Amino acid sequence: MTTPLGGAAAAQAITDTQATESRYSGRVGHLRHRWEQHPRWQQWFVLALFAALLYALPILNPPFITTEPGNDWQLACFDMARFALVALGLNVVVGQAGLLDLGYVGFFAVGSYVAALWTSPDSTYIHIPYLWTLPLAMVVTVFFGVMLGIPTLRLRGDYLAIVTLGFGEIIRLLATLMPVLRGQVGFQSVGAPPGTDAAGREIFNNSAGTPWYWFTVTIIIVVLMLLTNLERSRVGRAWIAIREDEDAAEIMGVPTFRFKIWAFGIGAALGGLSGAVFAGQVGFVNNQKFDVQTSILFLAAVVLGGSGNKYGAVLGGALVSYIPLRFTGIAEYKYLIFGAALVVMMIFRPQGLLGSRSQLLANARSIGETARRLVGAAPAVEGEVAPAAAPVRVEDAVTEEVADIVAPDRPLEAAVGENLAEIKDLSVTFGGLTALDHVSFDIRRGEILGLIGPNGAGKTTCFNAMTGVYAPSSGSVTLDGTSVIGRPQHAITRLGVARTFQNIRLFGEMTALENVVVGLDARHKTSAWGALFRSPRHRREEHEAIERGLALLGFVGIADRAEVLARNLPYGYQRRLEIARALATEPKLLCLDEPAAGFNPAEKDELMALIRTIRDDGYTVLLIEHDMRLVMGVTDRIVVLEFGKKIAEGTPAEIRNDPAVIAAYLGEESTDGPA
Amino acid sequence: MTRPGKACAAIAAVALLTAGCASKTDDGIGEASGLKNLSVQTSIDVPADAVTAAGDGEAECPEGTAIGYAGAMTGPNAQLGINIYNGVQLAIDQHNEANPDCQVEFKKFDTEGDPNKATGPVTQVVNDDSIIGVIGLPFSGESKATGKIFEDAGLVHISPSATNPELSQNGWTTFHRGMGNDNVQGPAVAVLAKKLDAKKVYVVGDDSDYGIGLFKTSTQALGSLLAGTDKITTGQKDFSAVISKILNSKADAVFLSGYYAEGAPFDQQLVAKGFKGAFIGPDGIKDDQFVKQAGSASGNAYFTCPCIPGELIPDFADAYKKAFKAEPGTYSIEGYDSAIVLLQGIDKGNTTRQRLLDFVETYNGQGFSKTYKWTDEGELSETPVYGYKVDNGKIVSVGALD
Amino acid sequence: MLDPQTAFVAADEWIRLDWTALAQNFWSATFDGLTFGAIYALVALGYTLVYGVLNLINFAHSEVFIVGAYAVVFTLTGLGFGPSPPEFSVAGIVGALLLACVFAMLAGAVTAFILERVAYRPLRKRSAPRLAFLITAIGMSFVIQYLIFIWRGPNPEPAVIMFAPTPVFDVFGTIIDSQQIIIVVAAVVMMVFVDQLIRRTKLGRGIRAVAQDPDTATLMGVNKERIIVATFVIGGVLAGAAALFYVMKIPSGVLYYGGFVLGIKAFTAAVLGGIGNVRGALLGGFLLGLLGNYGQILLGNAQWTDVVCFVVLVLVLMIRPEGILGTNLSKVRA
Repeated sequence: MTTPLGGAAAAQAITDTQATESRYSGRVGHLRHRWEQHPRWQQWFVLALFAALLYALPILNPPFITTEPGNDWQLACFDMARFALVALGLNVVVGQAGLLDLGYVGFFAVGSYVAALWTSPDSTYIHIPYLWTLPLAMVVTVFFGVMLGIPTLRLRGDYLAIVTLGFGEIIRLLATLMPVLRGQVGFQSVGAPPGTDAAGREIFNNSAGTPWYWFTVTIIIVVLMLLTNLERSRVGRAWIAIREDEDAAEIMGVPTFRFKIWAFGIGAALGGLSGAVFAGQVGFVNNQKFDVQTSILFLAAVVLGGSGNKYGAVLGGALVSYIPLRFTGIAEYKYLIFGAALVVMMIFRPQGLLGSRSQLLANARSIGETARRLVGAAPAVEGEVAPAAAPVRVEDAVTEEVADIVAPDRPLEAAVGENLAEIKDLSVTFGGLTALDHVSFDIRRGEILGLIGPNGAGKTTCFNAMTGVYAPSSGSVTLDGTSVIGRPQHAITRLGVARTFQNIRLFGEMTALENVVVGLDARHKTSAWGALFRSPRHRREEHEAIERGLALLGFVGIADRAEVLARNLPYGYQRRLEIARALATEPKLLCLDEPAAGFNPAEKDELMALIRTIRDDGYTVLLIEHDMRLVMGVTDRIVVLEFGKKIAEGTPAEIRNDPAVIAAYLGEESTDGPA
Repeated sequence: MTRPGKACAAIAAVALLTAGCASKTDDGIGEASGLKNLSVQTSIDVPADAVTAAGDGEAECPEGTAIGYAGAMTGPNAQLGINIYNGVQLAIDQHNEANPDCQVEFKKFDTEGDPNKATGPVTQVVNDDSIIGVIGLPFSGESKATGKIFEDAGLVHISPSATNPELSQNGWTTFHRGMGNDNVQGPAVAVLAKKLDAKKVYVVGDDSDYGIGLFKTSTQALGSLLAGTDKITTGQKDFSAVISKILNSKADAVFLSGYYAEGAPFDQQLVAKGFKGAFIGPDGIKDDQFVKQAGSASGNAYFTCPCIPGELIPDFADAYKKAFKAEPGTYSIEGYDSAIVLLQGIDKGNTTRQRLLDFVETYNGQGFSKTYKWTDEGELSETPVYGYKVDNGKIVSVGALD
Repeated sequence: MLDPQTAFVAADEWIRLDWTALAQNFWSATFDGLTFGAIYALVALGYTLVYGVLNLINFAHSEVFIVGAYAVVFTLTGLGFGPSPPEFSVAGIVGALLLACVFAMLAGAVTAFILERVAYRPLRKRSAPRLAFLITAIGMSFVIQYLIFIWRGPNPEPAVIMFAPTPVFDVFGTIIDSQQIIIVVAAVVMMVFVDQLIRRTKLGRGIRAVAQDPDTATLMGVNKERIIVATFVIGGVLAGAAALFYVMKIPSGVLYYGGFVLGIKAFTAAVLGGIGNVRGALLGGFLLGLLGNYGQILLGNAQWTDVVCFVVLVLVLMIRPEGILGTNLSKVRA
């Protein structure tokens, strides 16, 4: 989406072809949409039926599907469930947070060893009941996960992959090298849940697949419910945002590092849990099965099912286990098959078998109703897209109610004209190159300040220094008297500086509304625990999120596309969505980086109107723009940079006649220069 | 690609300079080592009272009575499994041919020799009611992982090759072993070393269940002969560090407690670094693959094995060769003898799991290889260990070590 | 139940530094370490060049290497080499090794070429995200490994002894043999060639240009696709040469997954020296070879070699991700 589109006609064309590509695209999406339209009780009924079928699976032993005579069907069912659980955990890390973990088997191994060390008679540790080892395994693996994550999660994606691969191998090698882990000799008679049958045999013995299967499926269902809670919260949205564009997420106020650690920790916990379950069922743990191949098999399960889709992960996990068990003739080709599957999926269907993406809002059902109340019409979903081409005119869209929701407690009159931000002696150098040289200016509350200058003058550098992307070499930036220098980007956002990007950086796989809600999340306080167990605060915030999100979309005039994926929005909508997302963080200062790039004159006019409306609603705006007509038309004051230095500051009229500015722009195209 | 071509030429030049004195190494143990050479055993007589598979030819048993085999059929350790189940197959074929009214079926289940995979196939074995006795599992690790399943099902099984001593210490009544365990093989290493006149023996152990057990018993038995010890791991391919330690220790014999996959490259690198003494391996290294992979370096190799050289028992070797177009391998004769024990039980009318188990418990008979009589723990009372060596590229017996 | 205390005592003892062993075996560990380092370095070049040009960790490069190793084994077996030292004349041996070297380079180059065509190019055309490249690379690595597995089975190829190493120097009572000298000298010579190739030739300039800025390079008339293919092919050729030395050093180490760990080590060497930096690969290779070998003797188990390697990798990425000599292929001055 980098090609700027020309006029409204092109926008129309794009809208017509792509508007149908909402969240519900594809065949699976179709089903999903129909499913969501049914009442709750019907959904529960179908789900209960499905669950009953799932539990009956090992007993039904359906012909054709069964893995017998090659492999015991009940044990095969357990194995599928085990793989599904592993894939579910890895999906959080790889699929949702986008962190490629090639050493996931390491967590699985740690979980297995925890179960073995505290239950096997071969271990000299204190023995505890097997069921206690499950939470213990989770705690221990989370510890390992966080210990691994803290130093490594700052690494770039592919380096992270290699480091995790190393971690997995180190765990395996340590299992060989540490005498207490008994290398290849391993641990016998690992514990199992208690209980004996009528004949006095243990119910959970290692040749009984069904009890273990039920046990694991129950775990999977509980985990799925908890993961759904997480997914539809600021945590889940943060993960997807990180996966889509980590830098943009950070700038939108997502503490990316913290949420990456959370993803890693949750993934580790599930890996450890499945490891402990596996150890209990097999009853034997040694160092032989925790190799890279197994890690890659887990990865194949996630990619196959649909990276980022938890049901896809479950399906993928079950398939990766089932195929070699069912078709024993090809069992020895399984690594070849799944290796090839990785390649083919990446090239032809990167979204996996179940491509449909996840719902990221807790109260999605209320979207239609809320939208009708706020902007008069429910957002378009598949098949009912209104043929509207251009965004709704701002003046028409912004009702009193919308404006109020967008800026609820902004003291409009108070302190207008006083300094909001102060930039003093700001310098930025790269290597020996000075990109910004002792620049000072103030931004006053309630104004639109233009920042202009020829290419390479340092406008965006100045932006980046103010928002924490670059560390300035000297100088200070304060907002309401508080210094922003040295703070993490997400903290600066929370302090009250929001921005858009020159080249649009939306979270493409999220809907417009979800993009905005990521911005709103910067002001939300729900913790991961709160989301996991749906605390009252979480419910309240989620409820507000939809209302405010829709109001913001209405404010910028694109509420009718609230449920369309950002990457499928027409160009003009994307620009507006970025502004809405930035506004969602409730900034004191809104920085717009060339918002009119790629717009035609009519669109530029509308943008000017929007910027004015934003100012009128009580925001302060810093605007970088090339288009002189736009800058002169909308700004209250202008600061001019050239070669990293400030050369002028004043009202548009003053700047227009400033000799230094005219000189600076003479080399530029005359159409862009001050007339 | 002219540049790499030039680089090749550069290699050639260097190679010419330094490889100039490449010389051929001698077969066998170097004379400098001062070790004795042990002479080759040529044949073993079949004991006159040996029980045969055919029995008296009058046996009757219900249709569908089956003996199972559970163990490696594919995977990296398949060969040992094949040796065993061919032995079993031979016994059953001979039995069925001689006894028209008792046709015993043979059902095979593949574990790949992997403890993590063995549970599934073994579960299927115990769930198949027609199987009343089992030969297997060949390896110690998988035997350990599955022994309890057999015990729970009350299904008698005889492992013809799992040598870990601990296997009989789990209180499993169904477990039986068809040869001596590592506790008898360890001391045999010391016997062999003394026979060779070795003064200093260096012991290297791998990290397998098997290797660790033998490492312990062999180092104890060697006592003052021990020159030093070191560890390797399964899958290791380069042994330069261990070998430089061995050379520094001036040992004249090395015992590697492990499998041939590591044994072959180990011996080859050992010889390449100029080691002139003897290389001793246990039954896990006594394999034709070892000779094939180590090449002429294997000329210095000796082995201990609680297995009987089946190829030297003419009746058995001929029948095996005829049936499978191959020489009997390590543990073929043990598989054959063990199967005969089960077949004897069936012929005598013990056609339920419980009765066959009881039969085996009290069995006392002469097999082709040795006497079969078990202790309460499932160990044999009589457990001979044989010495072997590589002679002209073949593994041959040098007689019993006692 | 045993006293839980014993378990912790055992856990304490598992790292034991055996300085005596290191002192006794220091020189042999050094020479062997350098030999391995030379092999790592040649493989590392493949990672470094591709990374420099495409910013891609070519995970499947280890398989390019192992295919080369199979070519060496097949060529030499075909010529009558086997697990026993050959009885050919010196000229015969040298000729055979040259032939094996050429075939291995060819095999490596062809594999790398196919890899680029089948797996990476389609993704580049769709401008797929970075992780898609990595996952594809892992997939290809698996495909190649298990194709070999199906073809050749689980066991290593029978050993191929090229020549019996003969003592050349005696350093402090430790023998340096002909094999070690050949490997180290030949590897260094090849590295110098590659270094000069990158610095002085037209192809090298093209590679540097694409590494610096693919778009600008294209505008300047550099055929980007051709440069990318050439980079893969050079990496494959070097991996083929490395394969020859690897088989020379570990004659029975050729099996389907034999490239994997070596690949990781080579990648670590590349990162250690500074990924994208040709001289860094050589330095990183030697350093890693030495560290691994010292670690192995000091800690008393060959598995420690791998642990040392991974720990070095993590530490370098943590503390100095640009490596010792810096990362940039394009910054090489002609």
